[in-house]
Amino acid sequence: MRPPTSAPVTTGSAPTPAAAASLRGLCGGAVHLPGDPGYDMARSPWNLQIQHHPAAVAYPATPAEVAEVLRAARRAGLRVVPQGTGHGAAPLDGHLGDAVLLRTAGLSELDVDVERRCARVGAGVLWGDLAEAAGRHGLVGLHPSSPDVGVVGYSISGGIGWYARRFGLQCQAITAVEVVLADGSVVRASAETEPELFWGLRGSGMPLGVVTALEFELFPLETVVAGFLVWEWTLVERVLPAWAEWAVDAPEAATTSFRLVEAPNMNHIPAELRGRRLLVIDGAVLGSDTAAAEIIAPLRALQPEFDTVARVPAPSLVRLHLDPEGPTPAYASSRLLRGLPDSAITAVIGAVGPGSGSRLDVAEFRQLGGALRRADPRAALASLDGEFLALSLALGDDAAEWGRLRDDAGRLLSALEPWTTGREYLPMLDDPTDTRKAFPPDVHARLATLRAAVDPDRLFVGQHLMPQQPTP
Amino acid sequence: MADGGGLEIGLLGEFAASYHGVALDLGGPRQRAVLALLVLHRGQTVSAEHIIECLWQGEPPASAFASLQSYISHLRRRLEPEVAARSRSGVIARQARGYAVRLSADAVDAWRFEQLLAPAESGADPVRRLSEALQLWRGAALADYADQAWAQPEITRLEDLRSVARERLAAARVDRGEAAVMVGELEAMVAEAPLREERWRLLALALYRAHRQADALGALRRARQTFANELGVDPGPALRALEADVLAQSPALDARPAVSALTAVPEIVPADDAAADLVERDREVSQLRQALAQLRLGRSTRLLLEGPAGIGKTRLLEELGRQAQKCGVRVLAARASPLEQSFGYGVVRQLLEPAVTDGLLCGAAAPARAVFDLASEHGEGSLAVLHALYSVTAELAAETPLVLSVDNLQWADGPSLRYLAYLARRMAEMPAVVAATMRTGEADDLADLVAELAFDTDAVVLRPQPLSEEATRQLVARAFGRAAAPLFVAACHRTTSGNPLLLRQLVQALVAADVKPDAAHTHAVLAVGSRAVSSQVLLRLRRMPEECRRVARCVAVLGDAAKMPHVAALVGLSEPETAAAIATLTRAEVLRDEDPLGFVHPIVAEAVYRDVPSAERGLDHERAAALLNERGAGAEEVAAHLLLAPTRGGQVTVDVLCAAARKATDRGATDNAVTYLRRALDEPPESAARPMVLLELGKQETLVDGRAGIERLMAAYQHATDPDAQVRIATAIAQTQVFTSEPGAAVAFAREATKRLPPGSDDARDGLVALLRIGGIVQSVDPALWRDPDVAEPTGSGVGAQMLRATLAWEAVLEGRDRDRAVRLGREAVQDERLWQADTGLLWCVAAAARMYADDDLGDFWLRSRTAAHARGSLFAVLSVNQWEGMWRWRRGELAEATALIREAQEQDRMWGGSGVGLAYSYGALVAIELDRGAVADARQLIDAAPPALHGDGARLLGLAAARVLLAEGRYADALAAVEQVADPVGIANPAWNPWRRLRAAALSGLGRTGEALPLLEEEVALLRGWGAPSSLGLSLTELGVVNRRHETLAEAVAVLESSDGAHLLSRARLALGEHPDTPHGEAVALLRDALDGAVACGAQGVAERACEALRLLGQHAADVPAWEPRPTATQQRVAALAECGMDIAQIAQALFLTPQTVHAALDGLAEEGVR
Repeated sequence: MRPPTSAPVTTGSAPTPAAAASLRGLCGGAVHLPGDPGYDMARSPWNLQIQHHPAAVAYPATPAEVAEVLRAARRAGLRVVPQGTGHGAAPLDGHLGDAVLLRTAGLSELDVDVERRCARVGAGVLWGDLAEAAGRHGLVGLHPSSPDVGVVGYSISGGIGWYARRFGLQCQAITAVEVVLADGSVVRASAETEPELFWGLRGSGMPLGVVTALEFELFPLETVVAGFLVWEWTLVERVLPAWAEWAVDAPEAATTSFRLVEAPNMNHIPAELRGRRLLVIDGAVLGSDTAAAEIIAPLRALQPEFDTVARVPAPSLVRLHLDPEGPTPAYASSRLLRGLPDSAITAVIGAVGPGSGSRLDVAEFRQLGGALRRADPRAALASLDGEFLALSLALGDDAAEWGRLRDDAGRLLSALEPWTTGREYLPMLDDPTDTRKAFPPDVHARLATLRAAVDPDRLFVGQHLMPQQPTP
Repeated sequence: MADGGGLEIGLLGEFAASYHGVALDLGGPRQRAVLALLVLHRGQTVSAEHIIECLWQGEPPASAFASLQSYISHLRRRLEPEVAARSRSGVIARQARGYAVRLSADAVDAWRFEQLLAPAESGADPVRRLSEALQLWRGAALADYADQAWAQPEITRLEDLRSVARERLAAARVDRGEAAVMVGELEAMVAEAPLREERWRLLALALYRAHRQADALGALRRARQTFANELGVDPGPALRALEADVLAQSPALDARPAVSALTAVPEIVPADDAAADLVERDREVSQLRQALAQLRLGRSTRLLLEGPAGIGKTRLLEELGRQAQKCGVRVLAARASPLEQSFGYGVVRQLLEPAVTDGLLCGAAAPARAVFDLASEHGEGSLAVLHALYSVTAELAAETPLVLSVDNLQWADGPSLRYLAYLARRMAEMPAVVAATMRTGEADDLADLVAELAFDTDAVVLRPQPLSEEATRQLVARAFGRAAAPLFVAACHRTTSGNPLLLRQLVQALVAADVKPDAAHTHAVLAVGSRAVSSQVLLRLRRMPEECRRVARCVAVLGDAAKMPHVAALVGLSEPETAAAIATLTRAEVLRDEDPLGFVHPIVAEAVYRDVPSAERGLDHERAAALLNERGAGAEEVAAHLLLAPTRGGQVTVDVLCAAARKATDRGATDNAVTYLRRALDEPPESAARPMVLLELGKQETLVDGRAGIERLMAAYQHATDPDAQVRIATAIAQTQVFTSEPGAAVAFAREATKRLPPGSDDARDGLVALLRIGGIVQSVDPALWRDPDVAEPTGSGVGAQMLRATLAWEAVLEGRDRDRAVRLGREAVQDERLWQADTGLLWCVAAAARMYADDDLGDFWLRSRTAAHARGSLFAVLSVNQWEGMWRWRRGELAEATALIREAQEQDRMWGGSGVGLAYSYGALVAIELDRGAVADARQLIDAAPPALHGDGARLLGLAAARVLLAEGRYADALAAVEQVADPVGIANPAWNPWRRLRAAALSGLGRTGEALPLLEEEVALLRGWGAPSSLGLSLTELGVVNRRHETLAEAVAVLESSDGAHLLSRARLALGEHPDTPHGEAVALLRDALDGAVACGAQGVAERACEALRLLGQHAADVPAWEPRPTATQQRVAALAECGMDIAQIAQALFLTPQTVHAALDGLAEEGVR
């Protein structure tokens, strides 16, 4: 499927089931080996398209148990893949036969420090849980568009949420990371201690260790103006250019997305919209009602058929996007765009618009800019350049349709090729990608050095492909 | 009027009847219909004609009346199983013109249903009351008579009432604030019966209250439409008024009580909420109910709940207790734990302590005082204690039916297990349920005792199975208060394999962590669920505050039933702080929410306990021991901790352990005493104290493991410097060796020990010589090694001298020459009863045996011995008394009594756990007794089952017994070979104890070699004439007469035996004489009649049958072969004698060391046989 560009740990011999069997009994028994009754359930990630067959699945619940798993895996000649929900598991597809899947669902601590406006969460905590816990104190985190995404995985690889243009990437909100390194040592990385590791863990998404807990900033927002505006998708030629133009100049208070979408026939979708092909603009606007109304007035002027934009409790935004919850078969791919000029919009409509014949479930454009553009040198992912993130998302469990959906997804991104920035945003890419595409060369070299220092034997498998640096 | 007392009749569903929960078979359809018909008439008389009319639908056969009468009589028998036939008319009464039922209002479900429906019943929560009423319904009323004209009106009426009840229940729930959740059900009810206005009204009202005004009006419109279509009328005033009120939003429509959202949750929980967590345990619960139903009939049940940890055994046991309490049964419960396994009678104490009173612990129950730390004097324990505890239990059960429940039987202490086993075999007629849980795969060295409880065919064994996924779904939903995603449920089920404990702990962990039961959190389930319970709990503990962790740890160390102040002291927190931590731990389902303190499950306790590093655990136990000691806890409670504390060589520890050992000994918990003393030895004690610890340990060990005891005593002997101690130890060693060591060891040791005696210790020497010689005899050692022909008769009056007299008496018997000497020595040996002090069975019984084989009158010797043995509380003493009193009764022809006693001895021998030396004696005797009874097949079974005895006098007895069986089977050649194989190294001259000649002669005679047989028999007769005991001589003469066919020999045999106590021997001699051709006809008939009567009285059926046969040959028709009938046993006679003195049952039981039940049974037996 893809050429292995990263060399595995050299162990001399192929791992055998017996090697994995040495993990049995760790984590108080929460280790599943092939053939165990819980194995199939344990190995399945959020993305049901993916079929991992790891040598073992372990559910440690404390950093000490994580360290035990790491030591046992190393002794058994196995590699390790830390995984929370498995939202980003796709690039690893089919390559875990010699690896222990270390699932972090058992690391469930969740503390909200109201005074300091920060949270400490274990690697098993989902954004829905955090949104609810923080919301009780009038606080929000920079969460993604879906409640069932894990906090840790999302945070350490970037994190574009509904407040991104005002507050930046979630990785930049991280204040400290508790991580178990390949040698089994438990380290707290922050600006003060282990600053280099701290830097690397803020947005690189690199497998530098097993993050067991994360501390990050929360923001005092009780309510926010949010909702969605909906049009019949045949109006795309009128609405998309207008949104694209508005998006570039809109104040940082607003962060929105534009989608061409087929509304699924599901309960959480308003009945009037179910099963229809639509244009949906959704997002959040910070500030007073008046200010917000003013900001979105140009969009309302486009006379949406359906308008739910109103002041709502902030925690509800974690479900604003109406993403499917629970395990789902999905394929996602994305490109960072320099802009969406008319010619690009024509290309989009040609690829996925009415008459294109495309069955792509979601063609989405995320509004970037604002705080996302301002570089934070203390984070590996310092900024996101570009005006938009174009995203193809195929959903569904019809295996026969899958190839076509992927083609449709690819068609949109190919059509946008001329307007890409040349950089990739790794979390939204289900195809294995060379990590050099995501960072400037000096940043990438620094990350490679860091990785070689903390995991010289490459115990951890990275989601994306990082070429081995020549040893200096 | 009979209230049916336990009779329940069901009309609400298929017609059914049950008695104390057990379904009754009411017979064929017509017979059932008779009862149904009568019940439908509610106590009114129904004429026979009408019944017949209904039953045969107007076409009765000619035999209808007779059939009806037989139906009625059958029904009466089935409805009143416990009532004597003549008085069975309580339930179905014969009236002038027909029949009527007499039942209390509670006995018929339909009547109860109507009672519950009556609105007058104020106060009671209507929802509960109506739910209960509706729960009485099992299906359509009288479903099996739906097509019978006579049942129709009542069916219609009942079904209509049911509709009303459902509507009232719905109304009550709507009123109670459950409007929103009732809408669905009301829609369904409306659809079911669209013309019942009340349903429409409730539906509309519920909708209105659920803030669905438009829907409410819509429903009313639909109602109007329905009535118009179906009936062409408008709805009634109630619906019209409601419509107006809805339109006006009248405040009258608001729900009366404001209820919180919480109580508005639909009540999925049945009224009986405590049982709600018992999912998929219907079969088990019905078995529990069955046991309770049996209990109410006065019958016992043994229930064993078996399965892996966490499968729900304990929960079922609790359910049994709960249900038992509900029906007024007393529940005594205990929970065994690993910590208390070395705490003798710990489980018994837990069980009985709350129930025993001072008044209960007297008479036969007095030895149980030691178990409850009430005794001041020390005793030896074991059997007396077991029997006493049994008496206590029987007394308690006689007061109120009992449930004895023991959780975690696999951890019960040995003595308690012995009690349960003892009880199990004697509880058939006791109104008690013994229920225990046992974790599979954990039975250890006590496996035999546990197996005895478990695998008895009578025990009901329940093995709860893992929960299904559906059950998991229900439990998860209940815990979260809402439905869980299927994937989430599947993960819960998959990771717990349906183990209820794992599932509960998992769900508790998930709820505590605020995990939402949706698909996205499936991996949280996997993370927690696939953990063992132990790690789940430890994980949860780790996330709790420090003080909670410390409290949990201390509770684990102190063990179940830890006291809060002790925990606080051990943790070093204040009591309020400790209480707060306990509350937190209880909420987290680590500790259970009840008194006394304890973990929710032993697995949890183990996990917390094992999590403490073992070295620290030891220190914790040490501190716990110090704390408990300081606070005046019992020695054994302290010792339980000391056993787990590091050894330090502390004399205080040794003292506590020795004190605990004494306590354990007092209550007969020998194995525990051994454990304490072994630990005391490891401490180690100061060197001066060491021999006494060794002696105590050795003495205790001999009671459970003779060989180990010997080694220990030997060590004590070596260390002892004090001459007195040396003698005591040496005596104990020699005594034990007689029954435990290789042949000759006792002899050799005693000889050595005699040499080491300081000058002047004559009595000690006498004692050792006695043991030396009796050891030589019992172990069949070459006489050269022990028989000093010059031994002088002792002159002293010490215990040693008495021991020697007993031995010499027995030797005189074996020699068979000087009967007077044997009698004199035997009498002297036991006259002051001092022998008891040194020896609880061996020489005491030897002296009696000597007198017995000399035909000396023992008087009330056995009664006194039995009393002393019980008072002493020594199992070995009691078994010795039973064995030798059995032998004595055998010689007197009391065959049934003898068998009973020897079997009892056998059972006690096994309980004693000795080397089995006694078993050779008991099997030998039992075989011979069976043959005397004429039960050859039984004798064969016994001899085949007897354990092989390789050496000693017991081996000789068994060998002779085997030969006897062969003789009785007519296998003369084999018998001859068998007799010849029997060795007699000691050279026992007296045929009274060694009748080899007689057996050999019988074999030879059977082989037709009479010529060789006769000299042998003549020699034996000559020897016995020299010995002079009539019973032995008479027996031998009979054998001789049978072979030499001489009338005068047999006549002499009869004459000699008539002066003896050997009743069965006399019968046999009379039979032989009566059969002799020279005996005149009239004399022969008289002899045979006497033989028959005597044999029947003895239970010697073989002789009785032959006497009958002989009488027939003499033309006597009167004599039929009588079936052997049990005659009053000695026990019964003793009971009768005391009863005649005016003693009541309890007094007799106490006087004779019997249970009240046995006394009852004895008196009942006597009454049946017409004996006054």
